[in-house]
Amino acid sequence: MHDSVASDVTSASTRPALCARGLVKSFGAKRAVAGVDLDVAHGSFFGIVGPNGAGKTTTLRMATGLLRPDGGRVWVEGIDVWAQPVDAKARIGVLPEELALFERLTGLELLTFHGLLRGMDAGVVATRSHQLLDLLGLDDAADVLVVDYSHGMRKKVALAAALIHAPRLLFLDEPFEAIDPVSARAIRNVLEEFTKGGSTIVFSSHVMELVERLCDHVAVMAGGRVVWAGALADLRGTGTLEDAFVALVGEPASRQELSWLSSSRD
Amino acid sequence: MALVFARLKLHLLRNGFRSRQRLVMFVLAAVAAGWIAIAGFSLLASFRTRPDEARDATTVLFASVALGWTLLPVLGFGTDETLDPQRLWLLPLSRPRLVGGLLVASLVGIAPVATLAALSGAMVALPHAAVEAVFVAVGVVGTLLLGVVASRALVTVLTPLLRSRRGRDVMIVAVAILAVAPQALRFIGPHTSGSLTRRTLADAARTVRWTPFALGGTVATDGSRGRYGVALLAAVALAALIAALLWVWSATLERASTAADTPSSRAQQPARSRPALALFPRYTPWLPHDRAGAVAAKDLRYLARDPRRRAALISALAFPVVLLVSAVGKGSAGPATTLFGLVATLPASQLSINQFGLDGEAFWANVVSGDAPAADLAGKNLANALFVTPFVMVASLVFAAVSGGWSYLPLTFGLLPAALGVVLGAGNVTSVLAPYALPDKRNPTAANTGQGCIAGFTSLACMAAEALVLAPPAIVVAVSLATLPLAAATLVSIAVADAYGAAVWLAGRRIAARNAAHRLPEILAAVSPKHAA
Repeated sequence: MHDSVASDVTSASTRPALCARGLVKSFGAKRAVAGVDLDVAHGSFFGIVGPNGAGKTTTLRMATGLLRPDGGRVWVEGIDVWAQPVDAKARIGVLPEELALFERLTGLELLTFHGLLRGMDAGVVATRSHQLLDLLGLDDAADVLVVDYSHGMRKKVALAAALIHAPRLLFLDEPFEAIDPVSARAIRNVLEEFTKGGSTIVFSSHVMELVERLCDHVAVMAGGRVVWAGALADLRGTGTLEDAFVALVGEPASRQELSWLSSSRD
Repeated sequence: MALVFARLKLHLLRNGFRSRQRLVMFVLAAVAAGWIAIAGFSLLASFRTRPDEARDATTVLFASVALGWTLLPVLGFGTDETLDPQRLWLLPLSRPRLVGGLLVASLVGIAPVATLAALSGAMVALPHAAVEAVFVAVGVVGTLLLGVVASRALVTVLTPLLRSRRGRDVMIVAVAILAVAPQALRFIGPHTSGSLTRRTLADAARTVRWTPFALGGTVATDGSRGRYGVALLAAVALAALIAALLWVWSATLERASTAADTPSSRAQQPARSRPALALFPRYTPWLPHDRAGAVAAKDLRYLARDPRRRAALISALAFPVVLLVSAVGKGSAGPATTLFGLVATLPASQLSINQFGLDGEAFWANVVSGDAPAADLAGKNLANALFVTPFVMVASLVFAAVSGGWSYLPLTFGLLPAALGVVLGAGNVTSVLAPYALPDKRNPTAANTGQGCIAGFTSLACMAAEALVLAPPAIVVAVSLATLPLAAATLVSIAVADAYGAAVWLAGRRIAARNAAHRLPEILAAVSPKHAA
């Protein structure tokens, strides 16, 4: 532990934004994550892709201090998330998949709450809350309780809450799941703005087109492990990301002939 | 088709056993249901030698059972997945088959079997001949059917309402009021101490005899005393009623199944002028703009907006009111009655036992933004204390006015910090050491996975612990009141008790914060309904 503490002062910028070694997590008899290593460089837009149940969410929860790993370590800018949680958490923003929010607050109140939890100055919180709501097209809904928001609005306000303290590293778990195209574009614009300033984004998704459009680096997870990681262009080669992904993760082994399925059509 | 539904229901029951927690809860439920079945059966059977009483008891019991069956599921005491028509709507089933299947599924389970067993006590108590026995049996089965069909029809009619957020909010509060009402009535009502006498039973039976819910009972009682014509009339009425309810159920099923989850109107909150900093209520401008202040402000907002907290408050606040009324009613209110105003701190106790559980999964926001359980607890305690203080003041003033115990007012107010210190200090410790998830609030008809049971045990244990911790200062107050003049006793009591309360709060918060610092992810998992199941 102490070696990383001593060295992160001098080499924070040369260390990867996120580094994981040997992360392991089991739920009962089921091994959800079976030894994950990740290296995410500064300023990259990093996608974690994989089929359902591959361990993406579990990995992200362990990297953000929400779920204690059974084994392995995670560093954010060289700071051990589980040994120095306060320092590490100050640098990250999180948009969880499940969107459990304090939904009996209005959008504006929720952002204020998140800002003050982060120990920010009240004046700065007020200014940024309004700016973020404007940017995400939620200014009309600023005084509406979050419980009455639509799914897309909830995602957007949760993203604003994750961004309000200007984190260095942003974790997004399925940010575009069940989102209408207009909200998706608003979110994408904000994220692109965010990475321009040299900040890092790690996000999980199984929408290949989005990963292809947004990410420069990807890790492919399957069965609780990272089966491939590197630059998107290297993985894709000459084909599409989807082809490369299916080739890596594998198609279902047996394919029975479903003649009755096609015979009903003419 | 009916068989398929019955099998589906049995499968769901059996699959529930894979989770050990659910299995335990199922066993507990089965034991409770068995007890109810045996108690109901033997109660009815015990009237065998007293035919008049047997008839009255049958009428009243049958009516209450049918009424209970109708209302309980609406109030969210758990229906199950086989009964959610929305899940079955896409299947190509004609409506009569769907309704028939759902009806059969409703009849498979512990509760219907227990009800049937309990009502069957009438078979022992009433009939003397075969024809009579047939009428009693019709009454028993008819009552169960009526209850099941009426409850399904009512739930289906109310589904659009239950799906809207406001409707659910209203329902949760209504449950709390209904839960409190019997106790309140028991104290306030005129027959406070009178047990169920022969007269009241007969009066009740005569009153309800021809009400819809008692029709099954009437079939059984009149059939058993040879008034076959009357019994037949009641049986026809009962059959017609059940048929009508089936029709209502069937007719509203489509609307209920295809109704969108109505979003509550967005326009309901007109642009009000905002406070200086959003989140902080206007009446608390002095709350610090830091983490503890933000948590306090958020909890104050939630006290006003969260139906679950409101429900807890209603049941907790009803207690001092009931106490007051019964004290006044007995005319024995001495001046020291004023001290009972402190009972109004009870909501603070209720709300602080499982503070992170009330936040639920949303508590991740606190976890992800740095480990500061001490600040979080301070904020939560502050909100609770702010909230109950006016109630204690009002309650004490009312008690003082009623009992003439104005001289005890300074002592009562002086002891408030002590009471809060103990209650909140103890609550902080239990919140961290034994956090538990509250049932999912989104689904009004969610099956109870047994969390309610755990919650009940934890809060009972916590109240017992609180009583223990409260004992020393209470003894000091009692002894000083008994031995010293009032002024001196007031000073001594306040000094000792408040010092004690402060010590308990500080110790409680320290123990809690120290434990929580190493267990935040575990606490988060414990209070998230999904992960706890």
